[in-house]
Amino acid sequence: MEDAASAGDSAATNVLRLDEPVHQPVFVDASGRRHRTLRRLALAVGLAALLAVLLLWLTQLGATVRPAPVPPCVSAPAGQGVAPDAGVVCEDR
Amino acid sequence: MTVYRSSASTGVAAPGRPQPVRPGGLRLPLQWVLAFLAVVLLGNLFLVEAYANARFAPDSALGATGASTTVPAPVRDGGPVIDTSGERPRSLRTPPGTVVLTFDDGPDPTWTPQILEVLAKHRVQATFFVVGSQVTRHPELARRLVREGHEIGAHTFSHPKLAGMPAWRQNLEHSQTQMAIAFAAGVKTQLLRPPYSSFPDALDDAGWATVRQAGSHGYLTVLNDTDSRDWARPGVDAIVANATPASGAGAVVLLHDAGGDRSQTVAALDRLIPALSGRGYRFTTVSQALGTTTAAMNPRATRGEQWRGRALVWSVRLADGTMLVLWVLLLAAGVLTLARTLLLFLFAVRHARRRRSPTWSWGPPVTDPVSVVVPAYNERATIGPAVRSLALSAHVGVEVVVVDDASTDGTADVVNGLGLDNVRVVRVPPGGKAAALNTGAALASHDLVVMVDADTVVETDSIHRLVQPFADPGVGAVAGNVKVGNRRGILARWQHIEYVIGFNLDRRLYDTFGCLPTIPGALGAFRRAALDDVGGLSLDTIAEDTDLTMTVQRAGWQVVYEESARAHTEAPVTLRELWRQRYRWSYGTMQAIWKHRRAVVETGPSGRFGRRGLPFIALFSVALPLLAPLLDILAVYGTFFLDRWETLVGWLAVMVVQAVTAVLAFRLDGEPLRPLWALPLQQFVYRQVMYLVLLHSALTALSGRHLRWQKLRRTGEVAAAPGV
Repeated sequence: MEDAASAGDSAATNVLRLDEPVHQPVFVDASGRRHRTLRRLALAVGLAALLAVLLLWLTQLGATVRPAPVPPCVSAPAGQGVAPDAGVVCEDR
Repeated sequence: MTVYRSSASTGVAAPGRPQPVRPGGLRLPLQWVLAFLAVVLLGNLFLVEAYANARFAPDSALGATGASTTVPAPVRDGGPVIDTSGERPRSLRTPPGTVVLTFDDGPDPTWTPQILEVLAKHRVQATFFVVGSQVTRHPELARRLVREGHEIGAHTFSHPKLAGMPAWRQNLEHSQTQMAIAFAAGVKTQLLRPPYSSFPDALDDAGWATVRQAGSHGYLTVLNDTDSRDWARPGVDAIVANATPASGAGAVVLLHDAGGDRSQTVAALDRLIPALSGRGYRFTTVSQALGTTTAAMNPRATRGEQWRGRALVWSVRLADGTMLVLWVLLLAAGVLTLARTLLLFLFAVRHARRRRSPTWSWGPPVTDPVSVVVPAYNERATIGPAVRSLALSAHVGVEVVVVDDASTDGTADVVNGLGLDNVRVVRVPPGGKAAALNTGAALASHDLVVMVDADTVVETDSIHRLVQPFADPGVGAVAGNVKVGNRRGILARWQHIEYVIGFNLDRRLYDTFGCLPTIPGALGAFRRAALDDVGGLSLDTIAEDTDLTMTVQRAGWQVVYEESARAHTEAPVTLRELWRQRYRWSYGTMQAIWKHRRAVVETGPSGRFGRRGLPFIALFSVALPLLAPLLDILAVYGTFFLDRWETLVGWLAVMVVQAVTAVLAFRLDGEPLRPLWALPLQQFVYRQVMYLVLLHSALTALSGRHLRWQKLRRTGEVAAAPGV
């Protein structure tokens, strides 16, 4: 390290640079396998979740669930269920 | 604070890092996939939750008061059951001597079973108009109703006021109620009672429109003609009296099995049934009163309808579960925050008081010579004032070693141009900040080594004050008090507040417990023996200062905070640079915690630090900030779907806690309170950026990607700032 020597007042100083051992910083996965796995998992879960959301909307907003198409003719007991004087009649269908 | 660039020598093998783009493959960044997912899922869950949780007032609390010019007179004067499916509306009433008991708003886990018990005891069948959202929560009760021979009718999904609602929304309400009933009980229903309905003669134009709308879909609308008014809880006697029809007449009696305390209803029912039976009344369901059967009113649902109901029920369950988890987490965050605030008040104040006391001293004055190591990479803009302030320190015997890590902007020339005798410049091959610091420490002549960033200006007596704790032979390292030097601009002001609260106040607390997580790179002092003990700085993490601090403590050295040693550092002035800096900090802190995780189970000083310090740091600097987004998420939810005032009050309470903490921190640090006006604004951009950074770094840690970061762009503002 000639730069250190060139500083003048430290000509006697000798610095040996030892090459740092090649090591892996914490968390780093150089192979990228963890990242790929996580990505695939996220995509899979994500697609499943989106599908579920889509299905929910489709099932809820699809054809309206109605009562039976022809309402049962409600034949109330004679003279009481209907109010004939009001002009409302039960037509048997 | 200086952020160093990454360099090839950090030991990360290049192969395998940039993944090749597969032809035709979809390449979405992980964090965007997750962000998109989170937004879509949370958005949908919130919609479901809000819909299924609509608050409502009990029936009859809102009376219809509009004009009734379109309601046909026969309907207005007719019976409570209205059929508009045919060409002409039909109005039907129960025969004399027949009582139809109807229960609205259920099923309810407390009251519906009790009412069912009473009905079973008297062998009476009734008609329940259920709310769809309640059925999704308690499908077993709906199933039980049908199994015990009662009739089930729809009372909408979310109990809204139907009048005025667009037709498609009305149909959706009915349709989803049918799905819920189909899933729960396997049947559909022909019967509908609109929420907030009462007698036929109270029908107004809007109400009549909803009746016709339902009729066009095949529903029989069932109003009532005898209102027990049990929703007002008038007392058992009053309910019995209200529910008793005029002598001999038939009646559709309105009662409620949900929506509050229904004990009066249960008690009244137990008296009403025998009383009416004794007078010759018979009890039937709506269908039987009209001469048809329950099976006709509750035909079997198709498998498709049951499946649609299943989707609805499960989404409501999922939304309920998610909401519960969010609330519990928010509660946990609240408890943690409160605990932190209390600890701060208790211990930080005590710490400050002890330090300020005239009798306080670390021991005999430390006058040993000090070496200051300044690592620098392209610091041309700031290095001049920084080095000058260090070289002119009041401490006797200060030597400054500037380690120029292969700068290309003439940083070394600037230092040499200062012409100061006690300053040395060492040029080293590119190696990163940790390596530069190690080189500097090796070249330093003295046994007390101070490390200062090249963008940091110290006060004249800072170095002297910083090394005073070394009077105690057990102290291995000292953290200084770093302040934001450039306080112009809102971003810098926010950071100033954050430094004073988040770092300086917290540091007093950590100091009290003897577990400082970080000696800031901007100003810290080390005993050479401590550095030698741990082999200097390591390249394992990108927060080499945090890593070193933890290592030194695990080696048995005491690490303390000296708040009177001040340094003024240059804070990032753009959001982009702030993001990078914080990304490095949070990711580095996570790395350091993870690296030292074994300390938790170790013995001796390492174990002491591991069990006392690490959980503290993990809890308050990682877990708690990771929970912070909840506050915003639930504030947004609350504003739209809950009581706006309650939400605002809750949010303000959090603000007040923060403000009080801030005032305390500023007072303890002797800072003027004026910059605190920016504190409320901090809630809107800054906080969110901070937790997004944290989430992003957590994700990076999880995925094992290599973090690339770059050096800050320097403006040299600290040097120009007045009063420094």
